[in-house]
Amino acid sequence: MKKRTTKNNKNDNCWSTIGVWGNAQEKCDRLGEVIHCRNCDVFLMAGRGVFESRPPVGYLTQWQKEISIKKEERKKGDIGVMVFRLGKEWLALPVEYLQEIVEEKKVHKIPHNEGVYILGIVNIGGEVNTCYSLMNLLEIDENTDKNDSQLRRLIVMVVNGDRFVLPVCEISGLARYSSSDLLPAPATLGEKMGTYLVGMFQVENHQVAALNVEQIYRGFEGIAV
Amino acid sequence: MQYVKFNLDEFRYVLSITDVIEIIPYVKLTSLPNLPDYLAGLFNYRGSSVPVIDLCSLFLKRPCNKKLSTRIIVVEVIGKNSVKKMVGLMVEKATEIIKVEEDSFMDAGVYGDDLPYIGPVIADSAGLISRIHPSEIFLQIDNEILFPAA
Repeated sequence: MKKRTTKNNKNDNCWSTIGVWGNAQEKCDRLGEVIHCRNCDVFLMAGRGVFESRPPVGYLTQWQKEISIKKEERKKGDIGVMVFRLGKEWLALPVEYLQEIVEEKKVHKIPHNEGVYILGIVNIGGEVNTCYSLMNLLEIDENTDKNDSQLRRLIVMVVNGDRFVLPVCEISGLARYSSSDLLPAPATLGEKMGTYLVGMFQVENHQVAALNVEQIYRGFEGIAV
Repeated sequence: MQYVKFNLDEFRYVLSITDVIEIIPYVKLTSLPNLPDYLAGLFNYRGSSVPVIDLCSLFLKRPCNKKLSTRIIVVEVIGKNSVKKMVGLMVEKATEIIKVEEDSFMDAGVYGDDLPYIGPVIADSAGLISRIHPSEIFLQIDNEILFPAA
């Protein structure tokens, strides 16, 4: 194996001195070969070192509980969705439109825009994106007893090449359903929301409304134009 | 084929992932009096009682350390009278899965019942790694404890 011959030959955290995260004049010789530190075994082995420590308090007890529970076979479905909460409603959007989920960040209001559907613009990874209110589009009431700001996230969706940023109250995770399991939306739902739904399905103990992305896209498009 | 790599001191072993049911951290085990040293105890694995064999005790005569990298590999072994049984193998430094071509395994060149188990080996930049099959571990231990006599 080729030895690193640079002056700054320190085995500990070389990635932040002579590696890609460092600003030393002289870069590590191995970079030519591995391109990025994350491909280098020095960096890899340093990461593995984390496992050579004692487990954090509560870690083993939590695992003990987890592995004593019988595994239940999960129902398989053909449509993968991301389940999230808006107000009291649990909703789902197909994963193929999902690009990213980021922590809630400041949405900058657009001057002279009093619209209820466009909340403003937001910086996602250095790109300016328009932030839309799915809550207002679906006419969902935000008031619930569980409104934890820690759980709030921004979903970045790409539909027909356009990026949408949608703030949500909470992300539950990924789920699957098959189209035959879908139940019709209850009549008690608002008329507005009904037009954006594909149907309802059950995840664990809550009813989730599967949303029709194309309809939502058209909904927002109609407003934006 | 993919293999889970672990260490017995300096010597490294790989175990085919097709033999593995699950890899979990070393959880607290229920010990029983008069168990041989290599039987670290029993634990509740998803509703069934599974004995755990400490490979460090078995081969190195010292228990596995208590680090995050020490893990229990749950495997199914076939014992006497072709009885299938789940056991946990407690090993150190189980932090990596590697890809190995089947035909790159070669004969180790040393044999003997007194040696810690050694099977076909592969070479990498740090030395040799031996393949181990869960059932082969049981050649070294008293089967009467884990498999009821017929």
